[in-house]
Amino acid sequence: MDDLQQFLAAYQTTIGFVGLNAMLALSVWLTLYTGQLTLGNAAFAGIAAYSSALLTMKAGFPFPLALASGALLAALVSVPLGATVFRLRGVYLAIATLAFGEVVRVAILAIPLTGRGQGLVGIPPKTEVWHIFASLAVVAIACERLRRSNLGRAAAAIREDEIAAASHGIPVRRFKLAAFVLGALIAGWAGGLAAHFDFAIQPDEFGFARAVQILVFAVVGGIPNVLGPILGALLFTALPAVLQPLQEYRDIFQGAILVLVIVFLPRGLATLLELRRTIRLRRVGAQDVA
Amino acid sequence: MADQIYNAIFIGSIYALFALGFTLVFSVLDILNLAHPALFTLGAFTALFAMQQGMPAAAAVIVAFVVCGIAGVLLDRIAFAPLRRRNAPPLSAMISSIGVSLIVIRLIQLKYGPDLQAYPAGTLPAAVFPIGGLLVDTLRSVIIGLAVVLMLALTYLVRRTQLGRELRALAENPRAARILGIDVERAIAATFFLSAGLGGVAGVLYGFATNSPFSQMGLAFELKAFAVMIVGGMGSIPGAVLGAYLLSFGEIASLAFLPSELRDAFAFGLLFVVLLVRPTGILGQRAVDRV
Amino acid sequence: MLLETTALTKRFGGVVAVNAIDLAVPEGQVFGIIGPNGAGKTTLINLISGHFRADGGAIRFAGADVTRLRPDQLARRGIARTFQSIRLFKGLSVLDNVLVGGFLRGSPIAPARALLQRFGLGARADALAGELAYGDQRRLEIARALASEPRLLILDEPAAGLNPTESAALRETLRALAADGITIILIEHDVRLVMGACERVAVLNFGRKLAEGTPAQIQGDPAVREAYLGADDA
Repeated sequence: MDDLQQFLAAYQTTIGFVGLNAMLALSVWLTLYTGQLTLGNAAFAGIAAYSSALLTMKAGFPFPLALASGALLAALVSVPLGATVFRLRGVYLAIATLAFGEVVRVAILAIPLTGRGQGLVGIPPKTEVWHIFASLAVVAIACERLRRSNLGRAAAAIREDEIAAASHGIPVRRFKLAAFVLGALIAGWAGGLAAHFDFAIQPDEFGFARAVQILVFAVVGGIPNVLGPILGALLFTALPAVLQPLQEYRDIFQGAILVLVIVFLPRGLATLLELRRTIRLRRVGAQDVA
Repeated sequence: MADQIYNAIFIGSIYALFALGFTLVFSVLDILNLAHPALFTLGAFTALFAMQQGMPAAAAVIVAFVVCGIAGVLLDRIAFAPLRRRNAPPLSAMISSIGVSLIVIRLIQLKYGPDLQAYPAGTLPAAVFPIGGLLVDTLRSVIIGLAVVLMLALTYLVRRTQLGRELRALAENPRAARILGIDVERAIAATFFLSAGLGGVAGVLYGFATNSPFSQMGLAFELKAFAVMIVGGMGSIPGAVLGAYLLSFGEIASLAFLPSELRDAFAFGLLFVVLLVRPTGILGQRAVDRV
Repeated sequence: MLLETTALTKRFGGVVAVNAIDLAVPEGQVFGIIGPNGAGKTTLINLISGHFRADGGAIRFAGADVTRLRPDQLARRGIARTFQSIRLFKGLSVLDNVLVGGFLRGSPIAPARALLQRFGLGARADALAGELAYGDQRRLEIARALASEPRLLILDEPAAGLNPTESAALRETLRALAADGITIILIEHDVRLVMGACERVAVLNFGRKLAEGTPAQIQGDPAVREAYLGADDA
């Protein structure tokens, strides 16, 4: 038990980040489930991170309120964005959300309040690991419940064939927007937690590279159920820590693992859990991923 | 003013060469090759390596083209071809290319480190001469000239050669192309060779012009390339060229009324507007969902 | 009249795909639309189901103007359809497909299973829709469309690719549905099916309505013969 405690203490940060990344991965999963490929969730996390940090630092907000405000702000911003880009398909949507992310990053760099390029330092470290995992549990359970409901089935239908889905009465636009905004909300909550976990934040943490990283978690993890993105986040967050002795070649191993997993399991790691169904899905050419 | 125009032409040429490679793969295969920026970087560093062994700059450019072209074909074999065989969703290809990109960039960093490098002294033309009121340098002029030649060559290849016809057929309808007897894998390999080769050359030329190649140089260009492709039209070669110059001129013009930190925001703001108003870009093909 | 179109028009660039077409389909009727390829049949259907926006004219359903409504809004009013190219949710199970069809009714499971039984797909409920044989897929699409208990069912070339046995079965299905009181609009190339199942038929050509009447009247019309049936007999 003592060893376990030592282990946990030493890897506290990594464990925390696994949880945060898992939440971010789930936020992308939500949108992917409706067939939308978004690269904007890192930016939403950033918006919430900065705003919640500023609220605790400058306005004396209590921690939970700051978190909620940050997440709500991210969700609010996502509404006009989602409403304007929902009709874009695939790659175009990805690029539009990516462009949004870049605009946010540049905006952060330009506003003096955010500390610009130096980032924001001295954020009160209010986040504890259990906050992160409690949030993750709530999000994961809620998402899985949704997935198994009629709403989840409708979302899967939208992903498979939007036009057919609409002709059966499914309000496609509303669903896509809802998934988009919910994703932003979750990403925002994670962003707020992240800001108060690590004392400081920088604009680069919420840019293109991060957005791609989160996408990787979700896609490599797989879409069939919520376990996928969580697995993906776990694998790629824990991996660098595990590969620590191989510092120099870490990226190479990560890259190699990424390629191997995707090539052999294009529908993600989670499909290992449902191997037979995966083989049938592959044969049928289903739209498991956007 | 003339100076700014000259600069805009120069930057636009690099954007164009870079975006052409991107667009080529997208139009033929419908995938976004996120390893392209790594190939861009590879080009710059291949030339650096060659020149450090004593090769003259011109030869180094050719070497970079070939090396990157081959790297592109290898990239396809490793990261994309297996996915095609498994009927994987296009998103998987994107992710796979990210993995390869990580590897390539890291390998470059292992050899050269993350900092700015410089090409060997005296290997690059430094002559500068005034034309009218404009200060023109040999290096950038040659680069612009070379870029234009390459763009024309690619256009010729796509429009007038057998290979070009095959690529266009593939882009239009892969299944029909196969039925028509086109050796699809060979055409795809050619696509990657050209795409990567062009990307690599773009990297060398940019590296020469700034004389500071570094391992992350591809990232900024990647983002701009998206803007170029969206504005000009995804999957359109003339569109990529048009988008590239529109962007470069737009950026220079925007400096007149935007602070320099926000210059990058111009590209993305423009990108956004285009996506909302005309997602297929100026010259892009419509992607109509048939009911 | 359950469904009425007045001077309905759709243009694509310079081409007028649907040119001022008037239709009037009373409740409970089985109405057929035939015509050569490119006549505008599917475009017309896409206009009625809300997938295309009309450039001119109007559509009335159950007395209300529905010209500008989206597909999901029309579904809510009781219009369901199948597609020429079969748009099943291939990665979802057979049962899930029908459940999605019943989305507006809350996706109740028992009625969904009953529909599957009725169409002979009960045993394949858990198979993936994409794994079904072609004929089964067509039947599943119709089952799915019926799950919402629509007032108007539009079938876009439901017999395409079916062998004679399957076509005959389809004819029976249509008769049974008509007996249930569902209004049906049927687009078809299979002349026998149309003539056998429909009470009234409209013939389209070049985006215009060439003729309309009972199957017997249509078969006897020389203009129709020339434009369409004549070539078919060859």
